Amino acid sequence: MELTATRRWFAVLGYVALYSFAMASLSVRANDLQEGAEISAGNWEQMKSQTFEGKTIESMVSDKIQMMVREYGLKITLKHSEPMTYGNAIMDATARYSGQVKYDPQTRKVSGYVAGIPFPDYKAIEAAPPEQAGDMLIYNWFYAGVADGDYTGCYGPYATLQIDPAKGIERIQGASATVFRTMGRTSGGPTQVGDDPNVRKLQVIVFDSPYDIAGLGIYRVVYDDGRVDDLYAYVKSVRRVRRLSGGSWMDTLAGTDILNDDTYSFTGHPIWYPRIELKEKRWVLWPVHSQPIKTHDLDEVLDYKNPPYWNFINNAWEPRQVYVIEVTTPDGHPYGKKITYMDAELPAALWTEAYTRSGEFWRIIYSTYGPEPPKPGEGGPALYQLYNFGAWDVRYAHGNYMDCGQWDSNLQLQVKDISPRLLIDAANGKRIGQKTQFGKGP
Amino acid sequence: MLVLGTAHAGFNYSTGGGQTLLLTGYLREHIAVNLEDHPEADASGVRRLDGKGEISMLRSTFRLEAKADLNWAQFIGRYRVDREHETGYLDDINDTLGSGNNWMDDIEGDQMREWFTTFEVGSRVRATLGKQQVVWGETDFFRAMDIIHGYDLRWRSFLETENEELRKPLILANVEIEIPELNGSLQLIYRPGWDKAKELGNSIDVRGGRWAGQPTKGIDFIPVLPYNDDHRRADTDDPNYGFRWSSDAWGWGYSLNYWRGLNVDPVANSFFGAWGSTPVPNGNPFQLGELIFPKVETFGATASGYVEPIDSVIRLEVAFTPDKPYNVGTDFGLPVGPGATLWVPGLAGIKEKNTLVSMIGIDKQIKGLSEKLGTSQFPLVSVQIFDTWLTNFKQSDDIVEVLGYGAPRREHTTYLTGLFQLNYSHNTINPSIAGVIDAGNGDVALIPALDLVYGDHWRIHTDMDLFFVHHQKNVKRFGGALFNEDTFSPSAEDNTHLLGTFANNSQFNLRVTYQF
Repeated sequence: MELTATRRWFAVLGYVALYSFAMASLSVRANDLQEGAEISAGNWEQMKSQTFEGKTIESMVSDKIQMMVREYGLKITLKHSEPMTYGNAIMDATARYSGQVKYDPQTRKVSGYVAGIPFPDYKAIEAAPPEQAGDMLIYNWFYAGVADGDYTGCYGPYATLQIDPAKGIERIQGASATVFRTMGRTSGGPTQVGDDPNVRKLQVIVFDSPYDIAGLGIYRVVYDDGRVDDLYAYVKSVRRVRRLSGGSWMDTLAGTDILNDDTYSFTGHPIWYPRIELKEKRWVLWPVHSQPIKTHDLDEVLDYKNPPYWNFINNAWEPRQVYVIEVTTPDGHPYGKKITYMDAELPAALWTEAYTRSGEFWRIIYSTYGPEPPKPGEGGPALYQLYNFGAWDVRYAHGNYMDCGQWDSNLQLQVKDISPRLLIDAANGKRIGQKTQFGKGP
Repeated sequence: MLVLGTAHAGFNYSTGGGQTLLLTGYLREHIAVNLEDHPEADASGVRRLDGKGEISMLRSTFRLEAKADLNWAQFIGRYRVDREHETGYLDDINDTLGSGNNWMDDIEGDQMREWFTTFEVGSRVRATLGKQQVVWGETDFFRAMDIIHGYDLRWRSFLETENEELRKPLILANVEIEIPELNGSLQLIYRPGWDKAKELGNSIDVRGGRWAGQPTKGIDFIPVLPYNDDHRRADTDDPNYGFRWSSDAWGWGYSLNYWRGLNVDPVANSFFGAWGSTPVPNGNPFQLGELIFPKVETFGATASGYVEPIDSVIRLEVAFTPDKPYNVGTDFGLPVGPGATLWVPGLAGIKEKNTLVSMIGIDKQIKGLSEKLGTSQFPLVSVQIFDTWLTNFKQSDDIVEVLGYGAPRREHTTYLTGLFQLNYSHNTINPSIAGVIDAGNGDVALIPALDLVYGDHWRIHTDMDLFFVHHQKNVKRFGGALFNEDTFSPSAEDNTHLLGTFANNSQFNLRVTYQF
């Protein structure tokens, strides 16, 4: 009896404590901004001290993104945070293979990788020395990044926009692109295909407009052992596939404000950089679970009719925990350093801030994401798709927006289908992407 | 459902079934101006042709490309129409030797440049059938294995940036077989011989046009050296064929090539040293012989790879042609009057020599220079050595380097070429300079260029084609009339090599393109 009474007493105490805690939480949340609230240059001063999910807006917007909001018209529309829903097959592979993956601090290389996320134990990463933690976080993105399915193909009639923030769109290039994983495959069949066990993926991009670059294609073999990419270009005007310099990973991508190693905010092999250091873990606002893009007309994704003509739109920004990673660049690299913001739950590089060698802020290269609905028969939670990708260059007052329209993912293609021959086929009018319902340009 | 899109990409049609049709093309205007006077005689025979500052080319071009993707096959058509205005300078050239020749017909007209279909057969074979261009090799400026097609060198010589506009497409069966078991692909090319004769071999300016070698502007050689496309050893109707194996090893891409086709340069089969068969008379009492494209076979290999320690791409190419025909007779002349000789070096006959063409090239991005020069990309330097070696060379063979010029062919003819390219303002302002040096005699061609990009539609290309030639056939006065320097000399001049034929032909060139 006494025991029971005591239990009841403790139970009541427990309820009271829980109630008090809940009320306290609610009192914090009661002042929270509502989902759908918009933060812009006009209301930044009022909004910055307000909270969302218990954290102030200012604390969740990095200095440079604040600059884009206050000075460049970027708008933030709030959305409650959602947990990661990464594909079943990827999580199964992570559970099965991640135990055998080893990081060697001496060589900074990884061994034993098969498929899935190589280092899913983020607690262990945080406990490691910062320069090792930085490497391991980048390796998660490098091997299991959300932007690539086993096969990703797309067609964008406005694949690359060159933007003058004072005048508007300068130039438009249309392109088809494809990424084919040869390693870490999870969509059925063997996890690895192709002859070379060190090839990680194959990439192709072929421009189809305007006329002077129509038919220009780049074929890229990406390795996981630290070798630079094999690069081949097909130039239609001379009708020849040419080998390009593997050192061009740090060169500008075809006259844009993006270096080749800025693709999806960070690409390239970790060991190409002398040091990759985890600096901090923090909360930010960033679009990771936006509503699916419908027709993918440019009107739907970019505010290209209003200055500075380069802001992505129709995105929902949610509180995300991120790792802030400082990347030291090698000699010859145009940047002095890059600061990359990596999602703490999802292997995704959200954005990168690039600085000159003298430490001057140069540009932001951003990637936003959204879930991809599972295909019939695929089942399980959705994969993620790149929704917007571009650059805001404040040093040269210039920007880019790159969009690949509708994506095909995990088509039943074989490794032999992705060869340099594809460049010539594409120049002869063969479409790389499967979908023909692509969005309208400006 | 048919969807029509227009904008920056020309005209784009697509159906619900995934079939697409894309129409693109351009309208283009070329304007070229002579930067030097030409020393040869005009129609009067006593005054120089001159022409410095005059417009040598005013050319309008319309090009339309249609690409249809029906999923199971692609169909491509490329049409080009060229019209030239007969500028005062061109009129002077046409009047120089009134042979009834209108050289303008050679440089304008309309043509279905290409029409072909391409489709897959099974999982590893792709066939491309129709009039097309197939390009082999790794060489810039010159050609070692890029010999399936001839080039039309009459309207802009070798100077047009996009060599697809110069290459003469042929009707070919082009089959590529992927052989993953051997990590490569085998390309088989067969030309059934259905092309018109004029589609074969290089079309060089032998009718005295604006790119005729100095000092032959205004002189039409066709009446005295007509083309013969039925020669027993140079029949343009004969089939040609070849193959290329492409693969890679140790990070290098390589290819092995074989082509049995026609010599891309014409040689003269003369009455004074007939080769294979006597020239076919054309009724002209002054006929000297005929021009033919002899059948040859060429074995080649190419390789290219990125060499990380020097951060450069190395390109290699070698092509061996056994028994390649050459014209001989550096001092061959015909008496044409008292004390005068018509020197026609090369008309003494044809000799066959084994020829090894080799190339080594290096392409390097100069990373440190980007910040210093403020470029938007790493500056590119490309350097190449291109050598032609007659492996069984004998001085006594008396081979000429260029038909009609007295310079003997050297055992090694070596050219150094270089390209330095910069990109500014997001690749909208692109200056470059290219150079070709004849390592044997120091003759130089220099091509500074500037490419400008305005939006999606307008492209402006301008360049200067500068020839610094110290070895050329001069023109002198003999009794008031202008003649080639060797007309009244005891032997032909003997120092004009290939670049020397471009003497005094420097040009300024402006090209404005509206593309859609």
